[in-house]
Order: sequence, then structure tokens, then C-alpha cells
Amino acid sequence: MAVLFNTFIQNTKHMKFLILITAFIAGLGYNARACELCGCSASSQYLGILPEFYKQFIGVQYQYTSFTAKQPSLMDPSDNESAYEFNSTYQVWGRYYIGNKVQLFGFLPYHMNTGADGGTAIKTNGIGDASVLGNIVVFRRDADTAVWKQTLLAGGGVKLPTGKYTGVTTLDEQGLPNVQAGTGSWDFIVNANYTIRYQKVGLNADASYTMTTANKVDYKYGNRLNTGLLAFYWWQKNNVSLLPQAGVRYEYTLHDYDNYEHKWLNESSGGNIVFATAGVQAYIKRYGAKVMYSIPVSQHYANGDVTVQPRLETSLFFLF
Amino acid sequence: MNKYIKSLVAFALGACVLSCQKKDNTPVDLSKVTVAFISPTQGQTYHQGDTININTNVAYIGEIAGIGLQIIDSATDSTLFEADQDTHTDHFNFSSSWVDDYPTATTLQVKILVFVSNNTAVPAERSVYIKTQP
Repeated sequence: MAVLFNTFIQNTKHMKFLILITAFIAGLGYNARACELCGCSASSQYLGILPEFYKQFIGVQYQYTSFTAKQPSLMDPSDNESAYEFNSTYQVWGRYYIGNKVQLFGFLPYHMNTGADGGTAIKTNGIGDASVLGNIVVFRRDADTAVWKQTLLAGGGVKLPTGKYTGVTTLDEQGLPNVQAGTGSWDFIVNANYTIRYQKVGLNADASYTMTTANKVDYKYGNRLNTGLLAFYWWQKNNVSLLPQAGVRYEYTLHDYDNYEHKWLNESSGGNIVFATAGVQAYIKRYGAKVMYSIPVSQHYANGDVTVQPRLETSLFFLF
Repeated sequence: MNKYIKSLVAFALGACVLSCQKKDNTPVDLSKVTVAFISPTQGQTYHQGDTININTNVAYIGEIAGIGLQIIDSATDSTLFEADQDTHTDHFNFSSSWVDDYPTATTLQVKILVFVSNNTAVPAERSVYIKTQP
């Protein structure tokens, strides 16, 4: 990916403008609805298209996700209770190169979650689960003479149980474990990221798989597959580089276990979703910003009882 | 590069294996559901305006998916009050309350319904009978 942006923009005076734009977009609201059933948090952590004209970067991401849910009453299956959940996540993240072949990524999220079941809203704020990823540059074909420029990264990492997890609460009993800031579990991640570019047009494919473990109360969130394919165009004028991009994301989440030791599989959890996604990245010298908006085009979560709503993601980078 | 591709393929196969999800297949046996009524007790008498506190300890050999409560007029079979609670556990202290606003002297059935996982369509039922008077 390095070569994608080998000539870059000057003048950073627009940074404040970018911050304002991103903050504004991050603050945009849309109908927030919820998830009252277990395990519908297809929490997405993916790398996507990354800047490579400087090795290191640090950035702040904002992601907004929301769900609506209907839960059939046990007493009367024809009577659905409605619920909603919306999650705002601010995340500090960065990349550090060791030599030319190894990249380290760190992620530290802060969650602001709200869930409501039966009209009572429950808010949970706090530091979430931190993650560390290591990627190897498997190959890079970015010589000036190369017609097709390609980069393949692959690696793995771990998600640490740094977020607050209070065990099985009354909310959990009601099916709302997702409003907690942490999962209480150590999870292991593998990922790959491939970019190919011909002149100003390119494709980025990424995939990550998260293998979860049971937490201290034996709750185990479902393993997750997160894949994406993005087409982008590299546009540059004066001091600004823009990468408009669009594509699809597919996420698949296995069922949770209410109790992993006893193999109590929660079949009202897990599912799959396809997002159509579009956005743009902008760079000015060492500064960058990104906005992505994703609309579900097909989904089946929690036996169809959970509906994932559109997702918004914004980022700011500082490259060094 | 080949070794990396092989590693990715090996991982993909491993992930497929890990994706097989085992499930507790213990046969459903509703006779193993226990409901201990702390309150009310069998035959207890209440008067109109009293608050009836329902407090029970529910247990099962497997996962309990939910617990329901019905208070029924035994004479007419009409349901006077309902409540329910989703759970993900094998034991649960279920409690609820109802202000007795029933103007008729009758026997009330306080019924606890226990929905166990793998068979939520047919709950186990345990009851005590109490009296209400105007």
C-alpha cells in the first residue's frame, strides 16, 4: 500500500477544518435502535485501506452502531417486546513499524453504550477491551516500474479483557450483555489485508477472524469473521489527496455460549450481515481523515429478531 | 510467499473446525425442575388491597431460558396477573409482586412456569394455592 500515496500533499493549515468536519460527522445522529438479544454485537475491527507514505501513525476513530430488536415473549410468542441498543465508540489506535517488514497496531476503545428493554434505558460508559496486532508484510510490489502495485499483509493479535465486565447482571439475564464496555475474555485475532492498484484505481480486500474464549463467568461470545472488499480511486489536486472508496463488507458471527463449560449454546445470538459501504479518505501532508458509511443490504441476526442499522465511522490520523 | 499462503489455508481450515459449535444435548426432563416457594405459602389468605409478594427459588439440571408467573382465579380460570423474566442460568431467584385488587372471595392459583432451553414451547409448571377475600 505504501506506494499508493508516494507523492503527498503539502500545507497542513486545513487540519482544524478536518477536525471540525470529522467531529461534526461524528456527532450526526440518526435513528438509534437496539439489540436486546445476546451476542448481536458484530463488533467490527478491521484495517481497511491504510496510509503507507509514513510508517507510523496515531489516530482517533469514532464508530456509531445501533440495533433494533424484537424479542418474542416466552409466555406469549405472538407478543414481541421491542428493544434497542446504540453504541458510540471512540478509539485511539496507531501503527508502529519494526524494520520494514513488521507492523504493530494498538487499539484502545472507549465505549458509550445505551440499551433499552421495555422502556428503561441503561447506559454504560467506559474503557473497552484493548487489542494488539502484529502484521508481516508478506510481499510488496511497489517499484515505480511495476504496472500493478500490490501489498499483502498478514498477521494476528490478541484482544485483552481491559474493559469493565461485571459478570452476569440482571441485564444479562434479560439478554443484554452487549451494553457492557468489556467482554471479560481474551480473544485471538488473525487477519490479512491485500491491496492492488493499477495507476489511480485499486482494490483492497481484508479479512479478520476473531477466536473468542470464555470469560470468568463462562460466557463465550461467538467467533467472528469480518471481511471486506473496497474499490478506490486515488485523486490528487494541489495539496489534497482524496481516496473515494466503495465496496461491501461481510460479517459472520457464531452463536454465543451462555455457559461454555456446560455448552449452553445461545441460538438467539449470532448471524451474518452484508453491508454496502462508501466513504472517503483525505490527506494533507502528515494529516489524514476518513469517513465511511455502511448500510446493511442483507442480514440475519438472532433468528431475525435483531436488525442492524446503518453504521458510521470516522477517523483522524497523524502520520510520522 | 508460498509458506504464508499455506499458513493462511491452514488457518482457514482450522477456523472451519473451530466454527463447529457443540451444544448441550442433555434430554429435556421437566420433572427435574424444582421451584421452592418462599412466599406465598400454600393456603395463605390475603385481603383486597394486600400486596402479594411472590418469591421463589427455581432450579434445573440444565439451562433455564425463562420464568413466568401467572395468578389465576381458580373458579373462573381467568388470569389476573402475569409477569416473566428471561434467564440464562440453571438456578434463579424469581420474585415479583401483585397488589390484590380482586373483589371476589376465591382461591387463587399462583403458577410458576419454567421454560428450559431446548424446549421453550412447553414449560414446567409448579403452583401454590392461596385465598383472597374482599
